[in-house]
Amino acid sequence: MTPVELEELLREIPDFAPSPALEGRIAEAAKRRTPARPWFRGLIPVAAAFLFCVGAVWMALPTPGGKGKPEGPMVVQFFEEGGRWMTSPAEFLTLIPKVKDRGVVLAGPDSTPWGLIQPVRKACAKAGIPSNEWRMADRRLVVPTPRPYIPPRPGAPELVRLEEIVAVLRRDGAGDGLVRRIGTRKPMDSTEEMIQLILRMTSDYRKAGKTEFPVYIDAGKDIPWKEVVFMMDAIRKAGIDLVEPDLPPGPDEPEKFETIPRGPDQKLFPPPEDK
Amino acid sequence: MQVMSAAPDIVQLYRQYGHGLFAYARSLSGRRETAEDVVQEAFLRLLGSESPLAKSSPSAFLYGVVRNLSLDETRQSAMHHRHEPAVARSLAERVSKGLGDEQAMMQVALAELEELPLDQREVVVLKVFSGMTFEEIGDLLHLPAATAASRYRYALEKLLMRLAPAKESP
Repeated sequence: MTPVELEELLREIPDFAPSPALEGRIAEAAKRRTPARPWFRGLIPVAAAFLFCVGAVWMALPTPGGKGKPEGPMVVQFFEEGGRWMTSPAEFLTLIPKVKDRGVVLAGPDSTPWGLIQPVRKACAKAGIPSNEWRMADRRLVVPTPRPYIPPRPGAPELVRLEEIVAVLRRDGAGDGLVRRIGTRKPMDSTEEMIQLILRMTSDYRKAGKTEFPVYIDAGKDIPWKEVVFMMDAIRKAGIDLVEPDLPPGPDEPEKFETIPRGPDQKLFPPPEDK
Repeated sequence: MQVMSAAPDIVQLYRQYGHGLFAYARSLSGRRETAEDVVQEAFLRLLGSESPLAKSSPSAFLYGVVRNLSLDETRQSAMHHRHEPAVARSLAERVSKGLGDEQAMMQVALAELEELPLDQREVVVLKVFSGMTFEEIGDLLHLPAATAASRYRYALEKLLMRLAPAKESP
């Protein structure tokens, strides 16, 4: 056998010949896997750009039935202008009930008179807002709003109430310094002295079986905001966490005022009568 | 239409290269079913391929894909012991007793071809069934053309030597 005859023999081996159906199989499979047409591939970037724009518009528009991006809390700002302290927005009494779900932030310099802050806090309490964030200088703290007064049920036995611990802050006679006292006791020289007395009172209350004894702060209207915060910090530092910068809840109507007088407290230091 | 002419005519290509591709796949994988699947997959890959080789030289692309797929299939298949040359040769000799001379010789030739080492076998198949030159075989297998030619010569010598007794025995 020559090499040429061998090649001829190999070519005739039927096992190396494909089945006749293979051509049809391949043609059928090729039809199913037709490649993307060039014009269609050219549309892909256009479609991607269109979808991107739709997504951007979708993100920018408010959601149907909703308010879009959730709004943050309403900020009530205190500021001094032309020697007068002001509140912005001035109509906070009507606005606060509308934004009770968002919350209210009180912001201003630490010299803001306390008399400007208390009405906002009371309005929040009335609207059902449990606490406010205070933003003053570099401090941020969350303080509960004044607790509502719950009158006793008619016919309920009268409770023997212990004296509430109230730290009173007022202007002194010169109008520059502070007068500090606990309740109706005589004024004290320093905050440390007040704290010692508060600790003695709380100790007595523990012995009497009272478990909850908040310390209230009754600050005058012209007391700077920072003095109230300083007193709160000092009481908390002494180990008493329950500090409320308000008078104890009572049936009395809140005091109304139009302006904040400067100078000494009028009740403690009444002006001398003209002779 | 440029778009239409750019798409390869699969049927036309199959008629041109299908036989050689199938024989090549069959020689590498040892099974007809596997060889048909491999050839079909090679044509489909050609259809979806964006490579320059597929456009400039579809036959080189097809043979490369068939080779890779067949070798992968052979490695992965649990049937890699499918090919027992001694068994195949004895079976072919037994079968050939009931066949005519030419058919018997084909069976023996097939068995002997499958007994060749892979590197020689594929050169023989590419040369005989696909009609490739040694340069083309060298390009496909990444060999010098002279190496492909020497492998072909060694393979033919082996086959001639082994087939000589079978040719003389009847």
